[in-house]
Amino acid sequence: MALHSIDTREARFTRVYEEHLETIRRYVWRRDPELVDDVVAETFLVAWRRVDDIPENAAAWLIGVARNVRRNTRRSARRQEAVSARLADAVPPLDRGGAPHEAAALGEALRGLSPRDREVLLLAVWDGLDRASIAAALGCSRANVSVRLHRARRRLEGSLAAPHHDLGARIALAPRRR
Amino acid sequence: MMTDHALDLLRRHDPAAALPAADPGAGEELRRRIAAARPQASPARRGRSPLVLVVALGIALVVGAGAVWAAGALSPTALFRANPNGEGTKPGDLWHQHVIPATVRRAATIRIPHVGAVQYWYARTRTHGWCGALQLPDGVWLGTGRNPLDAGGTVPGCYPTRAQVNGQDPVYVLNGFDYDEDDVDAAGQGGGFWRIEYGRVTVPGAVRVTDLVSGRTARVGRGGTFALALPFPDRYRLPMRLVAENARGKVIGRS
Repeated sequence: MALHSIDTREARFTRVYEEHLETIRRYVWRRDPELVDDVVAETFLVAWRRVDDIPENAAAWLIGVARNVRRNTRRSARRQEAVSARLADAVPPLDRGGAPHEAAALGEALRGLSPRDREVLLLAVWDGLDRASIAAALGCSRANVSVRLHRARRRLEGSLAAPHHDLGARIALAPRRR
Repeated sequence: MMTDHALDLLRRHDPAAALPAADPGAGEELRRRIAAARPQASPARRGRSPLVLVVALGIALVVGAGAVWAAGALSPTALFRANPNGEGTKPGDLWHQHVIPATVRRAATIRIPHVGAVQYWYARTRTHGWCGALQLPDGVWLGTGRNPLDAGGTVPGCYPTRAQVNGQDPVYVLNGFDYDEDDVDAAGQGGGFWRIEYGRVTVPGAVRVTDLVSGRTARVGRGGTFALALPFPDRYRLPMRLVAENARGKVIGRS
Protein backbone atom coordinates (compact mmCIF):
# COMPACT_ATOMS: atom_id res chain seq x y z
CA MET A 1 0.00 0.00 0.00
CA ALA A 2 2.75 2.39 0.95
CA LEU A 3 4.55 1.72 -2.29
CA HIS A 4 1.34 2.26 -4.22
CA SER A 5 0.80 5.52 -2.38
CA ILE A 6 4.29 6.75 -3.21
CA ASP A 7 3.80 5.76 -6.84
CA THR A 8 0.50 7.63 -6.97
CA ARG A 9 1.99 10.71 -5.41
CA GLU A 10 4.95 10.68 -7.75
CA ALA A 11 2.63 10.27 -10.71
CA ARG A 12 0.58 13.20 -9.54
CA PHE A 13 3.66 15.31 -8.97
CA THR A 14 5.01 14.41 -12.39
CA ARG A 15 1.74 15.42 -14.01
CA VAL A 16 1.69 18.75 -12.17
CA TYR A 17 5.35 19.33 -12.94
CA GLU A 18 5.01 18.63 -16.63
CA GLU A 19 1.84 20.67 -16.98
CA HIS A 20 3.06 23.72 -15.10
CA LEU A 21 6.84 23.88 -15.36
CA GLU A 22 6.68 26.42 -18.17
CA THR A 23 4.00 28.46 -16.39
CA ILE A 24 6.11 28.80 -13.27
CA ARG A 25 9.33 29.31 -15.20
CA ARG A 26 7.78 32.15 -17.15
CA TYR A 27 6.16 33.62 -14.04
CA VAL A 28 9.57 33.86 -12.35
CA TRP A 29 11.40 34.94 -15.48
CA ARG A 30 9.07 37.91 -15.86
CA ARG A 31 9.93 39.16 -12.39
CA ASP A 32 13.28 37.81 -11.27
CA PRO A 33 15.12 36.40 -14.29
CA GLU A 34 18.34 36.04 -12.33
CA LEU A 35 16.57 33.79 -9.79
CA VAL A 36 14.61 31.64 -12.20
CA ASP A 37 16.48 28.35 -11.72
CA ASP A 38 16.55 28.57 -7.93
CA VAL A 39 12.95 29.68 -7.52
CA VAL A 40 11.56 27.12 -9.96
CA ALA A 41 13.45 24.29 -8.25
CA GLU A 42 12.40 25.42 -4.79
CA THR A 43 8.78 25.85 -5.86
CA PHE A 44 8.51 22.32 -7.21
CA LEU A 45 10.35 20.95 -4.20
CA VAL A 46 7.60 22.48 -2.05
CA ALA A 47 5.04 20.99 -4.45
CA TRP A 48 6.60 17.55 -4.08
CA ARG A 49 6.64 17.76 -0.31
CA ARG A 50 3.03 18.91 -0.27
CA VAL A 51 1.73 17.01 -3.26
CA ASP A 52 -1.39 15.99 -1.33
CA ASP A 53 -2.21 19.64 -0.75
CA ILE A 54 -2.11 20.66 -4.40
CA PRO A 55 -5.64 21.61 -5.46
CA GLU A 56 -7.21 21.22 -8.85
CA ASN A 57 -6.21 24.77 -9.70
CA ALA A 58 -2.55 23.84 -9.46
CA ALA A 59 -1.26 26.81 -11.46
CA ALA A 60 -2.60 29.34 -8.97
CA TRP A 61 -1.33 27.30 -6.04
CA LEU A 62 2.13 26.97 -7.59
CA ILE A 63 2.31 30.66 -8.39
CA GLY A 64 1.40 31.36 -4.78
CA VAL A 65 4.28 29.15 -3.64
CA ALA A 66 6.66 30.67 -6.19
CA ARG A 67 5.67 34.11 -5.03
CA ASN A 68 6.53 33.21 -1.44
CA VAL A 69 9.83 31.70 -2.53
CA ARG A 70 10.68 34.88 -4.42
CA ARG A 71 9.78 37.05 -1.47
CA ASN A 72 11.79 34.90 0.86
CA THR A 73 14.77 35.16 -1.43
CA ARG A 74 14.33 38.89 -1.69
CA ARG A 75 14.04 39.32 2.05
CA SER A 76 17.28 37.46 2.52
CA ALA A 77 18.84 39.67 -0.11
CA ARG A 78 17.53 42.76 1.62
CA ARG A 79 19.93 42.16 4.43
CA GLN A 80 22.67 43.04 2.02
CA GLU A 81 22.91 46.78 1.71
CA ALA A 82 24.14 46.65 -1.86
CA VAL A 83 20.98 45.14 -3.25
CA SER A 84 18.36 46.52 -0.88
CA ALA A 85 17.82 49.78 -2.72
CA ARG A 86 17.33 48.03 -6.03
CA LEU A 87 14.80 45.64 -4.57
CA ALA A 88 12.82 48.35 -2.84
CA ASP A 89 11.57 49.80 -6.09
CA ALA A 90 11.61 46.68 -8.20
CA VAL A 91 9.67 46.67 -11.44
CA PRO A 92 9.74 43.64 -13.73
CA PRO A 93 12.28 43.91 -16.53
CA LEU A 94 10.38 44.63 -19.72
CA ASP A 95 10.86 42.87 -23.00
CA ARG A 96 13.48 44.72 -25.04
CA GLY A 97 11.89 43.69 -28.30
CA GLY A 98 9.53 46.64 -28.62
CA ALA A 99 10.30 50.27 -29.26
CA PRO A 100 12.63 51.63 -26.53
CA HIS A 101 10.46 54.64 -25.79
CA GLU A 102 7.50 52.34 -25.26
CA ALA A 103 9.38 50.22 -22.77
CA ALA A 104 10.57 53.32 -20.93
CA ALA A 105 7.09 54.78 -20.66
CA LEU A 106 5.58 51.48 -19.67
CA GLY A 107 8.24 50.91 -17.02
CA GLU A 108 7.54 54.34 -15.60
CA ALA A 109 3.80 53.65 -15.60
CA LEU A 110 4.28 50.32 -13.84
CA ARG A 111 6.45 51.97 -11.21
CA GLY A 112 3.53 54.28 -10.56
CA LEU A 113 1.34 51.42 -9.44
CA SER A 114 1.44 50.17 -5.89
CA PRO A 115 3.26 46.82 -5.67
CA ARG A 116 -0.01 45.05 -4.96
CA ASP A 117 -1.89 46.65 -7.82
CA ARG A 118 1.03 45.95 -10.14
CA GLU A 119 1.13 42.33 -9.10
CA VAL A 120 -2.58 41.81 -9.73
CA LEU A 121 -2.33 43.46 -13.13
CA LEU A 122 0.67 41.43 -14.25
CA LEU A 123 -0.80 38.15 -13.04
CA ALA A 124 -3.85 38.90 -15.17
CA VAL A 125 -2.12 40.22 -18.29
CA TRP A 126 1.17 38.35 -18.41
CA ASP A 127 0.37 35.14 -16.56
CA GLY A 128 -3.18 34.89 -17.81
CA LEU A 129 -4.79 34.12 -14.45
CA ASP A 130 -8.46 34.79 -13.92
CA ARG A 131 -9.64 36.69 -10.85
CA ALA A 132 -10.36 33.62 -8.77
CA SER A 133 -6.88 32.28 -9.49
CA ILE A 134 -5.26 35.61 -8.67
CA ALA A 135 -7.13 35.65 -5.38
CA ALA A 136 -5.88 32.15 -4.68
CA ALA A 137 -2.29 32.99 -5.61
CA LEU A 138 -2.19 36.17 -3.54
CA GLY A 139 -4.25 34.97 -0.62
CA CYS A 140 -6.92 37.62 -0.83
CA SER A 141 -10.58 37.77 -1.71
CA ARG A 142 -11.89 37.86 -5.25
CA ALA A 143 -13.64 41.14 -4.51
CA ASN A 144 -10.30 42.61 -3.53
CA VAL A 145 -8.74 41.40 -6.76
CA SER A 146 -11.55 42.91 -8.79
CA VAL A 147 -11.09 46.33 -7.25
CA ARG A 148 -7.31 46.24 -7.47
CA LEU A 149 -7.42 45.13 -11.08
CA HIS A 150 -9.86 47.84 -12.01
CA ARG A 151 -7.74 50.49 -10.33
CA ALA A 152 -4.49 49.19 -11.71
CA ARG A 153 -5.84 49.36 -15.24
CA ARG A 154 -7.20 52.83 -14.65
CA ARG A 155 -3.92 54.06 -13.21
CA LEU A 156 -1.85 52.48 -15.94
CA GLU A 157 -4.01 54.20 -18.50
CA GLY A 158 -3.80 57.46 -16.58
CA SER A 159 -0.05 57.45 -16.18
CA LEU A 160 0.56 56.60 -19.82
CA ALA A 161 -1.59 59.57 -20.72
CA ALA A 162 -0.13 61.91 -18.07
CA PRO A 163 0.96 65.23 -19.61
CA HIS A 164 4.28 65.29 -17.74
CA HIS A 165 5.19 61.94 -19.24
CA ASP A 166 6.20 62.99 -22.70
CA LEU A 167 6.99 59.48 -23.82
CA GLY A 168 3.80 58.14 -22.32
CA ALA A 169 1.76 60.86 -23.91
CA ARG A 170 3.15 60.02 -27.30
CA ILE A 171 2.25 56.40 -26.82
CA ALA A 172 -1.23 57.12 -25.56
CA LEU A 173 -1.93 59.33 -28.54
CA ALA A 174 -0.50 56.90 -31.06
CA PRO A 175 -2.98 54.96 -33.21
CA ARG A 176 -4.08 51.77 -31.57
CA ARG A 177 -2.84 48.58 -33.10
CA ARG A 178 -5.57 46.55 -34.76
CA MET B 1 -10.58 52.10 -25.19
CA MET B 2 -7.39 53.64 -23.91
CA THR B 3 -7.19 50.78 -21.44
CA ASP B 4 -7.20 48.33 -24.33
CA HIS B 5 -4.20 50.14 -25.71
CA ALA B 6 -2.42 50.13 -22.36
CA LEU B 7 -3.01 46.41 -21.85
CA ASP B 8 -2.01 45.68 -25.42
CA LEU B 9 1.21 47.59 -24.80
CA LEU B 10 1.79 45.59 -21.65
CA ARG B 11 1.27 42.31 -23.51
CA ARG B 12 3.70 43.37 -26.23
CA HIS B 13 6.37 43.92 -23.60
CA ASP B 14 5.97 40.58 -21.87
CA PRO B 15 9.55 39.68 -20.85
CA ALA B 16 8.78 35.98 -21.32
CA ALA B 17 7.41 36.33 -24.82
CA ALA B 18 10.67 35.29 -26.41
CA LEU B 19 11.77 32.92 -23.66
CA PRO B 20 12.51 29.52 -25.22
CA ALA B 21 10.99 26.46 -23.58
CA ALA B 22 13.11 24.72 -20.98
CA ASP B 23 15.51 22.10 -22.26
CA PRO B 24 13.58 18.80 -21.94
CA GLY B 25 16.61 16.95 -20.62
CA ALA B 26 17.31 19.55 -17.96
CA GLY B 27 13.64 19.64 -17.00
CA GLU B 28 13.50 15.90 -16.56
CA GLU B 29 16.71 15.92 -14.56
CA LEU B 30 15.28 18.52 -12.21
CA ARG B 31 12.07 16.51 -11.81
CA ARG B 32 14.08 13.38 -10.96
CA ARG B 33 16.19 15.22 -8.41
CA ILE B 34 13.13 16.68 -6.72
CA ALA B 35 11.22 13.40 -6.69
CA ALA B 36 14.23 11.68 -5.18
CA ALA B 37 13.77 13.81 -2.05
CA ARG B 38 11.79 12.08 0.65
CA PRO B 39 8.22 13.41 0.64
CA GLN B 40 6.50 14.39 3.86
CA ALA B 41 4.14 12.00 5.54
CA SER B 42 0.57 11.98 4.36
CA PRO B 43 -1.19 15.10 5.66
CA ALA B 44 -4.30 13.15 6.57
CA ARG B 45 -4.04 14.03 10.25
CA ARG B 46 -3.17 17.65 9.89
CA GLY B 47 -5.41 20.43 8.74
CA ARG B 48 -5.44 21.77 5.25
CA SER B 49 -2.98 24.55 4.76
CA PRO B 50 -4.25 28.12 4.73
CA LEU B 51 -2.99 28.46 1.19
CA VAL B 52 -5.13 25.57 0.10
CA LEU B 53 -8.11 27.06 1.85
CA VAL B 54 -7.48 30.29 0.02
CA VAL B 55 -7.22 28.47 -3.29
CA ALA B 56 -10.45 26.62 -2.62
CA LEU B 57 -12.03 29.87 -1.63
CA GLY B 58 -10.88 31.54 -4.80
CA ILE B 59 -12.41 28.82 -6.90
CA ALA B 60 -15.65 28.69 -4.99
CA LEU B 61 -16.30 32.41 -4.79
CA VAL B 62 -19.36 33.78 -6.47
CA VAL B 63 -19.17 37.24 -7.96
CA GLY B 64 -20.94 39.47 -5.53
CA ALA B 65 -19.04 42.75 -5.46
CA GLY B 66 -21.26 45.73 -5.57
CA ALA B 67 -23.78 45.94 -2.79
CA VAL B 68 -21.56 46.88 0.08
CA TRP B 69 -19.46 49.25 -1.98
CA ALA B 70 -22.45 51.51 -2.03
CA ALA B 71 -22.08 51.82 1.71
CA GLY B 72 -19.34 54.43 1.50
CA ALA B 73 -20.30 56.20 4.71
CA LEU B 74 -21.18 53.31 7.01
CA SER B 75 -20.26 53.46 10.68
CA PRO B 76 -17.06 51.59 11.57
CA THR B 77 -18.95 48.70 13.13
CA ALA B 78 -21.38 48.49 10.23
CA LEU B 79 -18.49 48.56 7.76
CA PHE B 80 -16.68 45.73 9.50
CA ARG B 81 -19.91 43.77 9.76
CA ALA B 82 -20.47 44.23 6.04
CA ASN B 83 -16.81 43.30 5.48
CA PRO B 84 -16.36 44.37 1.85
CA ASN B 85 -12.97 42.66 1.76
CA GLY B 86 -14.55 39.29 2.40
CA GLU B 87 -17.41 39.71 0.00
CA GLY B 88 -18.39 36.49 -1.72
CA THR B 89 -16.80 34.24 0.89
CA LYS B 90 -18.69 31.44 2.59
CA PRO B 91 -18.94 30.45 6.25
CA GLY B 92 -15.88 28.46 7.19
CA ASP B 93 -13.65 30.13 4.61
CA LEU B 94 -10.49 31.69 5.90
CA TRP B 95 -11.54 35.08 4.60
CA HIS B 96 -15.05 34.83 6.00
CA GLN B 97 -14.24 36.87 9.10
CA HIS B 98 -16.71 38.19 11.69
CA VAL B 99 -15.91 41.32 13.61
CA ILE B 100 -16.25 41.38 17.40
CA PRO B 101 -18.25 44.61 17.74
CA ALA B 102 -16.97 45.34 21.26
CA THR B 103 -13.42 45.56 19.93
CA VAL B 104 -14.10 48.24 17.33
CA ARG B 105 -12.03 51.30 18.16
CA ARG B 106 -10.27 54.23 16.60
CA ALA B 107 -6.63 53.22 16.63
CA ALA B 108 -5.04 56.35 15.22
CA THR B 109 -5.74 59.69 13.60
CA ILE B 110 -3.50 61.04 10.87
CA ARG B 111 -3.58 64.63 9.68
CA ILE B 112 -2.90 65.13 5.99
CA PRO B 113 -2.54 68.64 4.56
CA HIS B 114 -5.46 69.70 2.37
CA VAL B 115 -7.34 66.57 3.40
CA GLY B 116 -7.79 66.78 7.16
CA ALA B 117 -7.99 64.05 9.76
CA VAL B 118 -7.98 60.50 8.46
CA GLN B 119 -8.99 57.96 11.06
CA TYR B 120 -7.69 54.44 11.29
CA TRP B 121 -10.31 52.07 12.73
CA TYR B 122 -9.40 48.67 14.02
CA ALA B 123 -11.14 45.62 15.46
CA ARG B 124 -10.53 41.97 16.13
CA THR B 125 -12.50 39.08 14.67
CA ARG B 126 -13.98 35.95 16.19
CA THR B 127 -11.48 33.77 14.38
CA HIS B 128 -8.42 35.74 15.56
CA GLY B 129 -8.16 37.88 12.47
CA TRP B 130 -8.38 41.65 12.39
CA CYS B 131 -10.30 44.43 10.72
CA GLY B 132 -8.86 47.66 9.40
CA ALA B 133 -10.19 50.69 7.56
CA LEU B 134 -9.28 54.32 6.92
CA GLN B 135 -12.01 56.92 7.11
CA LEU B 136 -11.80 60.29 5.36
CA PRO B 137 -13.07 63.45 7.08
CA ASP B 138 -16.42 63.23 5.27
CA GLY B 139 -16.99 59.72 6.63
CA VAL B 140 -16.24 57.88 3.39
CA TRP B 141 -13.98 54.84 3.62
CA LEU B 142 -10.79 54.67 1.61
CA GLY B 143 -10.57 51.74 -0.74
CA THR B 144 -14.21 51.90 -1.73
CA GLY B 145 -13.77 54.33 -4.61
CA ARG B 146 -16.43 56.63 -3.21
CA ASN B 147 -14.37 59.79 -2.91
CA PRO B 148 -12.16 61.63 -5.44
CA LEU B 149 -9.37 61.55 -2.84
CA ASP B 150 -9.42 57.76 -2.92
CA ALA B 151 -6.50 56.74 -5.13
CA GLY B 152 -6.78 53.01 -4.59
CA GLY B 153 -5.47 50.43 -2.21
CA THR B 154 -6.78 47.73 0.05
CA VAL B 155 -10.52 47.26 0.25
CA PRO B 156 -11.59 47.86 3.87
CA GLY B 157 -12.89 45.06 6.02
CA CYS B 158 -11.69 42.09 8.02
CA TYR B 159 -8.84 39.77 7.20
CA PRO B 160 -7.12 36.68 8.50
CA THR B 161 -3.71 37.43 9.92
CA ARG B 162 -0.63 37.01 7.79
CA ALA B 163 0.26 34.02 9.90
CA GLN B 164 -3.16 32.46 9.33
CA VAL B 165 -2.73 32.80 5.59
CA ASN B 166 0.89 31.76 5.28
CA GLY B 167 1.90 30.38 8.68
CA GLN B 168 2.14 26.79 7.51
CA ASP B 169 3.94 27.65 4.34
CA PRO B 170 7.51 26.38 4.34
CA VAL B 171 8.83 29.73 3.22
CA TYR B 172 6.71 32.00 5.40
CA VAL B 173 8.88 34.73 6.88
CA LEU B 174 8.22 36.30 10.25
CA ASN B 175 8.96 40.00 9.84
CA GLY B 176 6.92 41.51 12.64
CA PHE B 177 4.41 43.26 10.40
CA ASP B 178 0.86 42.64 9.22
CA TYR B 179 -0.37 45.69 7.36
CA ASP B 180 -2.19 47.15 4.39
CA GLU B 181 -2.08 50.39 2.47
CA ASP B 182 -4.33 52.92 0.78
CA ASP B 183 -3.47 55.93 -1.36
CA VAL B 184 -4.81 59.47 -1.04
CA ASP B 185 -4.51 61.85 -3.97
CA ALA B 186 -5.12 65.40 -2.78
CA ALA B 187 -3.78 67.11 -5.89
CA GLY B 188 -7.28 68.24 -6.77
CA GLN B 189 -7.43 70.13 -3.47
CA GLY B 190 -3.99 71.69 -3.75
CA GLY B 191 -2.29 68.92 -1.80
CA GLY B 192 -0.07 66.01 -2.63
CA PHE B 193 -0.08 62.26 -3.07
CA TRP B 194 0.04 60.19 0.10
CA ARG B 195 0.22 56.52 0.90
CA ILE B 196 -1.08 55.42 4.27
CA GLU B 197 0.38 52.24 5.74
CA TYR B 198 -1.82 50.82 8.48
CA GLY B 199 -2.11 47.60 10.39
CA ARG B 200 -0.38 45.87 13.25
CA VAL B 201 3.13 45.29 14.45
CA THR B 202 3.14 41.71 15.61
CA VAL B 203 6.54 41.60 17.26
CA PRO B 204 6.29 42.24 21.03
CA GLY B 205 7.81 45.39 22.47
CA ALA B 206 7.46 47.67 19.45
CA VAL B 207 6.77 51.30 20.32
CA ARG B 208 7.41 53.01 17.02
CA VAL B 209 7.25 52.37 13.28
CA THR B 210 9.68 54.28 11.08
CA ASP B 211 9.92 54.57 7.32
CA LEU B 212 13.66 54.50 6.65
CA VAL B 213 13.27 56.29 3.33
CA SER B 214 11.34 59.35 4.49
CA GLY B 215 12.29 59.23 8.17
CA ARG B 216 8.64 59.55 9.18
CA THR B 217 7.50 57.74 12.27
CA ALA B 218 4.26 56.63 13.89
CA ARG B 219 3.56 55.51 17.41
CA VAL B 220 2.60 51.90 17.96
CA GLY B 221 -0.64 51.80 19.92
CA ARG B 222 -2.57 49.22 21.89
CA GLY B 223 -2.55 45.84 20.25
CA GLY B 224 0.38 46.82 18.05
CA THR B 225 -1.73 49.07 15.82
CA PHE B 226 -0.13 51.80 13.76
CA ALA B 227 -0.91 54.09 10.85
CA LEU B 228 1.74 56.05 9.00
CA ALA B 229 1.13 58.50 6.16
CA LEU B 230 3.97 58.88 3.68
CA PRO B 231 4.09 61.77 1.21
CA PHE B 232 5.27 61.05 -2.29
CA PRO B 233 6.11 64.10 -4.42
CA ASP B 234 6.17 61.81 -7.43
CA ARG B 235 3.31 59.36 -7.31
CA TYR B 236 5.10 57.19 -9.80
CA ARG B 237 7.99 56.54 -7.43
CA LEU B 238 6.98 55.14 -4.10
CA PRO B 239 10.02 53.86 -2.23
CA MET B 240 9.43 52.99 1.43
CA ARG B 241 10.88 50.66 4.04
CA LEU B 242 9.18 50.19 7.38
CA VAL B 243 10.93 49.04 10.52
CA ALA B 244 9.56 48.55 14.02
CA GLU B 245 11.65 49.77 16.93
CA ASN B 246 11.51 49.06 20.63
CA ALA B 247 11.79 51.65 23.39
CA ARG B 248 15.58 51.62 23.15
CA GLY B 249 15.52 52.35 19.46
CA LYS B 250 16.51 48.86 18.44
CA VAL B 251 15.00 47.58 15.20
CA ILE B 252 12.97 44.49 16.01
CA GLY B 253 10.87 44.10 12.86
CA ARG B 254 11.27 44.84 9.15
CA SER B 255 8.45 44.99 6.65
